[in-house]
Amino acid sequence: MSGNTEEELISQLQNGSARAYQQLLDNHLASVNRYVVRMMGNASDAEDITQEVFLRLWYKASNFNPKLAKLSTWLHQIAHNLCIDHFRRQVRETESKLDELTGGIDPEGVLIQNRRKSDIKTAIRLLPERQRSAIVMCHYQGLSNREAAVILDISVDALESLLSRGRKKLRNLLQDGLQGSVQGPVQAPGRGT
Amino acid sequence: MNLDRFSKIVAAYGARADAWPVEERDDAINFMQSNAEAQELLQYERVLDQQLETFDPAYINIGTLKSRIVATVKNNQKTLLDVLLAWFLPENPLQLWRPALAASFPLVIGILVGMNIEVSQLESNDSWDEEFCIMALTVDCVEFIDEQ
Repeated sequence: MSGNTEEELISQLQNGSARAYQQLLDNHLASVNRYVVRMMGNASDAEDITQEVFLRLWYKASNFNPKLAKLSTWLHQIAHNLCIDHFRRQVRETESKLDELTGGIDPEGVLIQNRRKSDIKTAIRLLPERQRSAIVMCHYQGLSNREAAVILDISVDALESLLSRGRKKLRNLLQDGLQGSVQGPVQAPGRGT
Repeated sequence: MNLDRFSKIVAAYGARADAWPVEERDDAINFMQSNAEAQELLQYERVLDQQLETFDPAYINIGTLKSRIVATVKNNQKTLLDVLLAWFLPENPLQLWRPALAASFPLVIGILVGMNIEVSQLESNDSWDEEFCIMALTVDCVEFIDEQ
């Protein structure tokens, strides 16, 4: 079993092989979990979402065509969609509760005031979801630009724009902490024509 | 490769060459090695990359997570009976054709059986005469049967 290629394992999984499923878990669980943890910012939510990703691998393996994409790309796509769904649910619930209690204080504004902007974890958490996902996939997960573009369902050009905006926003959010480590204000070097 | 494209690459992907698009990587590396402005841009992006590398969230024990996932799959595994019942008794009203199809099986089977029984196999002058006599319950019939 351990010598099987991924395509063979997927085929066996699609025929209901529990051993193939466990082997694929061994191959991909840690990587997907790292992505989800970085997206969610906490291990508890990440555990539930990671579990759901791999339950879908078991129950919906027949939906996956290994000729069209790599399994890691498919798993990251499921993980990305589940994370986005979770965020949107959280925002709806938070807005609803705050509206009841306070008449509409902006929850993200409260977060920004109460946390150190120079903390990288906080800065990543404050990125818009798609910028966050793009940076986590390309910088931490080592996915190629094409894989990340497929997962986000955008072109490579759009991905690069997302990444650039995300990195720029991160730099701005971290500016308080970065200014102590570089000489002068933080701005892009001038470019000749 | 030119400075404009190189600046877009590092602005998006950072200072690590292994993160750059594979088809442009070699050109970008060669360009950077011979261009001072490109090296400045690289250094600028490297600072953020180093900040990003400090993000090291706490991970749960993967072995524990794997065991939990496998246990969930095992607990949810359905027997063949469960699968058949789910198929024939769907929750989705658009799939009510399934129980209708199942209910029509006896009718279809009955029609098929009936079509395969030839009436000629049952026909026989003697047997029909006997039947009528028995139904009539007459003395003549008794003699008729005795003669047979």
